Amino acid sequence: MSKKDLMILGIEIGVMLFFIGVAVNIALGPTTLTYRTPQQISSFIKLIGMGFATLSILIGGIFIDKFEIVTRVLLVVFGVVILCVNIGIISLVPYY
Amino acid sequence: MKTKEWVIFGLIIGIALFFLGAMISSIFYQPNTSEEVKDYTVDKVSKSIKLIGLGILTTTLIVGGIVGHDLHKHFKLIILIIGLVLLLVFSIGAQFMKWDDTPSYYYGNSQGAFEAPSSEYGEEYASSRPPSTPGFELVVAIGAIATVFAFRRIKRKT
Repeated sequence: MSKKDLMILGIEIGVMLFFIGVAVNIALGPTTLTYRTPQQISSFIKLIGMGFATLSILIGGIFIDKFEIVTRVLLVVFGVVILCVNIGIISLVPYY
Repeated sequence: MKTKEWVIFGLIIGIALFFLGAMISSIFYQPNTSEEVKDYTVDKVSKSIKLIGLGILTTTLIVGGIVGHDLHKHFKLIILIIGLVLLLVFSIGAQFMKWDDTPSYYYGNSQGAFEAPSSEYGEEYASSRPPSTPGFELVVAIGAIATVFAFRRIKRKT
């Protein structure tokens, strides 16, 4: 498996895990003061997914030469923006 | 299967799942009654299907924008930008899609958690139903499909 395939796989798995994490929060029922399981599971899945996606976008944009230059610039710019936005969200909200 | 066909397939499945989820919640909709506790199974299933659909849509747009060699150059660029913007929007929007009935004062601020008020005031904070899933992003997806046809027409003319 080449680096490029690995990057594509990382983005696919990451984005899907993120959305599955959001769905899990709703599917497992409301988080209450005593029942924290939906929050814990969904935050775990969402963070892993977003981590994978951001990492793949940023690293793929910087280090993989097979893509066109416009694609690479876009990936790097959006990778940095997504990373910054997520750092902001993680700092501001009580849990992800 | 070519990359182009995979992208079309992903868009179809993503948008179809989104509308399927919306259809389930509309067909099996039950209004709130004060006598009994509402069963949220339908809401949970429909919202999960909608979110999976949006996930497939976003993944297809990003991956199609990167590896779609047989796509038109401009179209490839547009779907990559739309996909990345969608991911950015959802990473912020997901914070408003949490179903949390914990009263907000329990989370406190940076100085520490507040003490819960002794009155029943806090009960007003309970959301008691699942958050609504977004649908406005679908406009962007439809815009992407319209762009394909626009580019195909331009290509034919030249």
